[in-house]
Amino acid sequence: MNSILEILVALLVYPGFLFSFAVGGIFYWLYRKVRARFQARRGPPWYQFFVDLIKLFSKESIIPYSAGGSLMVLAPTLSLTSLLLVAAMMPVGSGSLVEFEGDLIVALYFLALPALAMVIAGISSGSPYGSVGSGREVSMMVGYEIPYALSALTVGFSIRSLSLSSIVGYQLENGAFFLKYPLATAAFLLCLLPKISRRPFDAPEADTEIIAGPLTEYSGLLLGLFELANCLKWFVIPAFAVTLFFGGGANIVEFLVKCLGLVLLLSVIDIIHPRYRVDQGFKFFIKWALPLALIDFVRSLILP
Amino acid sequence: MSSVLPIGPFHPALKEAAFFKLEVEGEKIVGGDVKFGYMHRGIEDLATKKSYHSNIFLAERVCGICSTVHSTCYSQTVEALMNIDPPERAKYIRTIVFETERLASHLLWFGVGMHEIGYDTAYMYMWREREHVLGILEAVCGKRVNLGINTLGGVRRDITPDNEGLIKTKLDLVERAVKKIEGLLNEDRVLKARVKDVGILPKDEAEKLCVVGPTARGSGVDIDVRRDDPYAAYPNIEFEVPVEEKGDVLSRVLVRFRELLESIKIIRQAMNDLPGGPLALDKLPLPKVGEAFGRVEAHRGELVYYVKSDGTNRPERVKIRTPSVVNNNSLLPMLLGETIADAPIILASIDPCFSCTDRVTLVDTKKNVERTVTLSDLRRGRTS
Repeated sequence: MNSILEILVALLVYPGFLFSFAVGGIFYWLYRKVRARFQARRGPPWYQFFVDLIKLFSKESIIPYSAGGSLMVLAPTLSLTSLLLVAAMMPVGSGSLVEFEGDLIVALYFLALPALAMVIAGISSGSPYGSVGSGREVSMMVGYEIPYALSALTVGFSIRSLSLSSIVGYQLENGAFFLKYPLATAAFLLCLLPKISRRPFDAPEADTEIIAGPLTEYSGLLLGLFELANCLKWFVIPAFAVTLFFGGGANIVEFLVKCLGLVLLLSVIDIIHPRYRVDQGFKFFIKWALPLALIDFVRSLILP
Repeated sequence: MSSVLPIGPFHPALKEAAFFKLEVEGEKIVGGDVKFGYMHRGIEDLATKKSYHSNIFLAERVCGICSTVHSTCYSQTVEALMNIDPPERAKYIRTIVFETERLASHLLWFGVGMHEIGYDTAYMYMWREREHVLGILEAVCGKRVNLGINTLGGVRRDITPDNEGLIKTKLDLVERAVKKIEGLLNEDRVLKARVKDVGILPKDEAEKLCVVGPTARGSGVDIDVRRDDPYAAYPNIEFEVPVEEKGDVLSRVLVRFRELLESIKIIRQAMNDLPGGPLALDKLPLPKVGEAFGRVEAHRGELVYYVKSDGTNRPERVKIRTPSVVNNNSLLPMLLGETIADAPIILASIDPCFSCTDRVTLVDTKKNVERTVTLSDLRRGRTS
C-alpha cells in the first residue's frame, strides 16, 4: 500500500507531473521574459502561463463540423502523455522512476510523438491552415529527426549501452559527452529548436503565414492541453539534452541549472533570428546538422 | 489538385481587412483572387458636403499613416483652384513634416516587414526608433499621427528655435538606427534568404500595371513626383531618387532603406535653408469655377487629388486616387508561383493600405447582382 502511494506521489508530484509542469512553466515564462527584455518590452509576470491555462480550461472546446472529432481530441492527449512518460524516464538527481535497458530508444520514440500529435491535430482539424501546418511539420520532422536520433545514439553507442541511467553514470565519472562529441552536441542542439518550434525553424506554427498552423481550430480545454504539452516541452526537451550531453546532474539543483543554461541559449537563438521558410529549414538540417551528427556517429562506432 | 487557402479578411499578416483567396497546391500558389472593399467609408461623397476648410481634416483621415500627405495634396490642389501661392516658410515646413512622416511610415513598414518573416526582435527595435520620429512630429505639430499642420494657404504652426535643436538631435538618433538597418540587411543570412529573389515584378510588367512609388522604383521604373513635378520646397532641394533594377522584395526593401537616408538629408537641408516670413496667407479668395488636379509623392507612391469647384464654399467633386489602388493590382502577378510562406512578405512589400483604397460596391439583394460604382457612374449621377 505504502509503495503504491510512493509511486503515485513520484508519478504525480515529484519528479513526475506537477514538478515538470511547474519547471516547464517557469522556463517558458523565462523565455518569454528574456525575449521581451531583448525587444525593449516589459514581458509577462511569472504566473502568466498558469492563468492562461486556467482561462483556457474554463472555456468551451469547439470542435468544427468538418473536423475528425476523435482524432482532434486524441492529438493533445498523445502529445501530453508521451512527454510525461519521457519526464518519468529522465534520471533526475537520484534516479528515474522507470528504468530499463534500452530506455534511450523508447525516449526517442516518445519525443517524436509530440510532433506527430501536431500533424494529427492539423489534419484532423479540417482547416486549410491546419493541413498546411501539418505538411510543414512533416517535412521538418524528416529533416531534424534523423540527426536528432543519430546524435542521441552516438552517446549510447559510445558506451555500448542504451540505458539513460548508465549514460548519466558514465558522464559523472568520465566527464560530459559534449567534450568528447562536440559535433554531435551541436547537431543535437540545432534539432532542439524545431522540437520546441522556435525560430528560425518555427515554420509549422508561423503566425503571420498560417495563423497558428495545426492549432488554428483548437480552443478551450483541448488548446489548454496543447499549451500544457508545450510547457512540458520547455522542461523535457532541454532536460533530455542535459542528460545525454551535459552530464545530467548529481543533484536536482545542478540538473536544473544546466537546463536553465540551455533554455537561455535556445531563447537567445530564437530572439536573434527571423523565420526560415520550410524548404530552407529542411535544407539547413540536411546540409549542416546531418553531416555533423554522422561524423560523430561514425567516430563513436569506430572508437568507443 | 489545388485547394483554397484564404488570407483574410482578418489574418495576422494583414493589418487591415482585405481578402486574398489563394489557390494552392501544397505550399505553392497557383492562382488567386484579390478582394477589397471591407473598409469603405464614403469619404469622397462626404467631401462634397463639407466646406473646403473642413475637408483638410477629412483628407487627413483618409489614411492613418500618411495623413499629412493627404492634407498637403488636398491643400495644394485647392490652392491651385484659388490661384494662390503659400509663403516660402510654409512650403519648407510642409516639406519637413512631409519627409519626417515618410521616415515614420518607412520605419513602421520595416517593422511590419520584419514581423511578417518572423523577425520580431527587429520589428520591436524599428518601432522603438520610430518613437524618435514621432517625437519630432509631436514637437513640431503637437500631434503624433493626424498632424493637422496644413491649412489652406500655409501651415498652422511654426518650427521654433527650441524645436530646431530637438529635430537635429532626434535626427542623429534616427540616422544611427537606420545605419543599424543597413548592417541587418547586409549581414543577416536568414533575412536575405527570405527576401532575395522572392515576389519578382519585372520592369515591363511594372510599367504595364502602372505601379507607383517604391514598388515601381524597386522594379527599375524611375518615377518620383518630388523630382518630376516638384511641389512645396522640393524645387530648391537636392536629393537622389533611389532605383533598384531586380524587382524582388529585396529591391523594394533597399529602395525604402535608401529613401530613409534621403529623407534625413532632405530634412537637414530644409532645416538649414528655412526662410523667414509669415506662416500663412491672411486672406483667402473663394475658389473659381473650374477644376484642379494635384499630385504628391506619398510614402507608397504617387497620390492624386482632383477637385472640381462650382464657385461655392463646397467642392462639387473630390476624387482621391491613392497609391495603393494601383499597387494592389501588382500583388497577384507577384504571388503566382511563390509559396504560402512568402505570401505575407510579398503582400507587405508593396506597403498596402486598404482603407484608403476601398471603393463601394452596390449589391441589389432582390436581383442578387453586384455592381461597382465607377467614376463615370458618379459623374452621370451628378449631371443628370
